[in-house]
Amino acid sequence: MKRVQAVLTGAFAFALSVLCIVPFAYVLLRSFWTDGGITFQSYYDVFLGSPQYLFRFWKSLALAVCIAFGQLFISILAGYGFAKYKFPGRNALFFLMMILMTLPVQVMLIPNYLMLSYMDLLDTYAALVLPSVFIPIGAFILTQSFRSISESVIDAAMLDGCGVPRILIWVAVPMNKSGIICVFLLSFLDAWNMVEQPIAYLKDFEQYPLSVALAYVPPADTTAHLVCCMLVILPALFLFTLFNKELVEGIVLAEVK
Amino acid sequence: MKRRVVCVFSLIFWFIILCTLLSIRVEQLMKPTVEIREIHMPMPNTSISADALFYDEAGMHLYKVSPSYGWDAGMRVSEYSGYVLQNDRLSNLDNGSFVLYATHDLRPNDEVLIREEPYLYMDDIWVATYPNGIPAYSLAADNITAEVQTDTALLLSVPGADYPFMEGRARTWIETVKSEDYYMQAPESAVYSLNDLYRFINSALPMALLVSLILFSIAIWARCCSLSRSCKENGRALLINSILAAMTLLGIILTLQFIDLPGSLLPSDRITHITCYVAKLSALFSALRDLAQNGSVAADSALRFAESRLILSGLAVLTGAVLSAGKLVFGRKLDRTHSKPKPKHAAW
Repeated sequence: MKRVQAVLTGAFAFALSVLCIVPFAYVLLRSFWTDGGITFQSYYDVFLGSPQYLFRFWKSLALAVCIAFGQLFISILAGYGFAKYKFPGRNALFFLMMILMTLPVQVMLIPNYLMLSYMDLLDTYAALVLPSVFIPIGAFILTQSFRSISESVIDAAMLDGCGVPRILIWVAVPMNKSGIICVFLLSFLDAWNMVEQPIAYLKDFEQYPLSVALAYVPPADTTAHLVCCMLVILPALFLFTLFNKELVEGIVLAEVK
Repeated sequence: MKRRVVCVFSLIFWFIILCTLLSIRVEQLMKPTVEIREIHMPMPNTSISADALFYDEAGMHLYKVSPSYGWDAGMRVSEYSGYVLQNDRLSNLDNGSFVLYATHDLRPNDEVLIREEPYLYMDDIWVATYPNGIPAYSLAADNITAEVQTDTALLLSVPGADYPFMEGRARTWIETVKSEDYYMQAPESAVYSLNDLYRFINSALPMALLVSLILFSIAIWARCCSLSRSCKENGRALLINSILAAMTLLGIILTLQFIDLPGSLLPSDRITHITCYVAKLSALFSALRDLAQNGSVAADSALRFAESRLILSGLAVLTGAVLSAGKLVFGRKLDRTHSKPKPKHAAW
């Protein structure tokens, strides 16, 4: 009976894996396939024929890295503050942050648009970076994981003469590596895949990141579109394969507390 | 596991960086320069020369240039099919800019550069090849002189020729005697510029250097992967290899600037279309050999120059391959001198 159950579970897991892999395999195979048969023309077009696809790739990468580091910086400060300081209204503020976290991106588009317009930042990359840097999910995760650092460790560091910045840099951050990598990964992927914000805040097509510009690839270049999809997968695939353990640990740490 | 992931993805990202640099240069080289005729509010008798027709397997085409947006931003060509061919002229034209000549064959949606004033002129030597024998011809200008002739090729001296060289225009300067069905079929003849041939041959050495640098960069990557097994001990060696990689990248950027392939010898679809180069160059060199045998000094010196440059380029690639192999084989010894020795255990 147990054997049958194991076989069934294995078969179900295999079927699920196939379901997950099929779209990826389709993109990969279709990128080599045109009406005329197997061709590398689209790979030539994207990687060698014109730099526009790769320029956009680097532009998107730079944007996502800026946003991820910015969000990480803000989240570390906010997370440490919520976790280690007691101040009036802390719980209310944290609750407010949690409410903000549950709001979908689309709800915040118009208020953000109005604010950015007021600050004269529309049609600039700052319009994408600034609102993304202050997304509260990173602060929430890091608050939970900073709470796992024992007070005695912080006290010992203070007794050794460390101020708050040094404690943060030399004690809290290294002890919370998985939480920090988790926040970096999540914010990077969020920024890498953003679609609504560039459409709302940017007017010029030249400014669009790859995630948005892909939708504008002419229908005649379907295979080039699919090659771009392969290109889009790369940074995410790299980060996931490199930090999958830290990502799981970071999320677990945030949930446990 | 992490080390392997970093190694594999560093090679992938290295290739993306390389492709970005190459694609910038490829786009510059592959963008054809075109000469246009602008037509505003055409009258019934408005017409352009039928020399503006381009030929391929699908037949003859007349192209217009217009601005495009989005992914296809820039000046792009599109086909205009409403023309009427009559008495060597194309009429029934629309408003717009029609392509008269181009540095190489065009395809719909190609991005082009429009030749604008101030126009450049340069002394040139043209080689016209006629596989079925030289037809009756007359030269359109007094300054063009036919210097040497064989059964199938003609060598012409052209002082102050338009630059860049456009084959279609060159053909109109030579073939002024046209039969009735001249425009109804793809021309069998081809006209080449020796200036362009020299530009092409001069690019051979930088291209060989580029190949060598790419090979060397792969060797550096392989060494770095090997060194990353113990990053702490090999930190200095890794740093030196990283500096070497950065210098190789700089070398690639600089080398790319010296690659200047002429449009007339480039394929219309992709720069890596080797069979197109083989077809064009074998036809040209065969004509040059015949012309050199008939006493043409220009053809002879072009052949000698090509020969010497090709040997030099071959040597450059070979040197690059040997250096890369040397980096892999002897790099271990060199890197060991930069690595920290492992601490010896105290003998109790």
